[in-house]
Amino acid sequence: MNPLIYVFISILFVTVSQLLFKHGITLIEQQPKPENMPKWKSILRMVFQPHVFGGLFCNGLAAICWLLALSKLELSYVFPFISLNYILVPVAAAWILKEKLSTTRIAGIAVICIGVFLIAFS
Amino acid sequence: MNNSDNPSAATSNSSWMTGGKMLGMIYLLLNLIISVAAQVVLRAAMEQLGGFEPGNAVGYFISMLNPMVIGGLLLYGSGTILWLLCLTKLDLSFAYPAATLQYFLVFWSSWYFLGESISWMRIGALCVITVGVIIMSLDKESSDNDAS
Repeated sequence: MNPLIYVFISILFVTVSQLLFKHGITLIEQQPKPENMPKWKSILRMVFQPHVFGGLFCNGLAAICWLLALSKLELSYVFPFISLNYILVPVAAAWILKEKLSTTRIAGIAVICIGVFLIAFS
Repeated sequence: MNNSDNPSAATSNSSWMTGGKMLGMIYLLLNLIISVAAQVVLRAAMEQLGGFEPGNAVGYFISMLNPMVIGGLLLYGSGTILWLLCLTKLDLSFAYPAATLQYFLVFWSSWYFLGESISWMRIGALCVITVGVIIMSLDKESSDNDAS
């Protein structure tokens, strides 16, 4: 099995966690904020919001997959693949969260794609 | 962007944006160093453990609970917290491209500390990725969207 699979699973988990964070935070902002809530309490409320918590869990899974990737592949080879998140996150946000995807952003994504391809064949 | 109906949140946000640029830069620098150190430590630790095979998964995961892996993960977590602190002080359109310095620092560290050979192809590819990230961050409207 190609060890790059661990890199891609890790990146997918990171993307999923970003979407969960954004969705969870949006849900929190829609609720009325209780008066005089101390900062530590509002942080706890954020962390234990179910979507945010799920996002943190996915981030943990991503870290484990990343370690498995590092057990087989050189750091300078795998690390640039992290930039795939710059591509996946905006695309998934446009698709699932209905965020806008501007022409500038699409151009940036295309250039990053070229860079990642070059790394993959290096 | 949803702060307009909450005056107290709006004022605290704007004071964060105007003040503490210097502090933001310090966070960014610390984030860079600590995140790269985390990757180097983790790669060294995992290389020592040897390649993962699904067949011995349970034993492998137990052997991952060693001081080097845990230390690396703690560094990684600290880096994430510093990144979040940095985002409270700096604009995303600046912080995002600046964070790509991490890629170059990882390359240098992989060569210096881990003895990996870095080809010109990889450095060229990294420059292409950096250009892509800079283009993305030129998109002012969307970065404001993300920052909220």
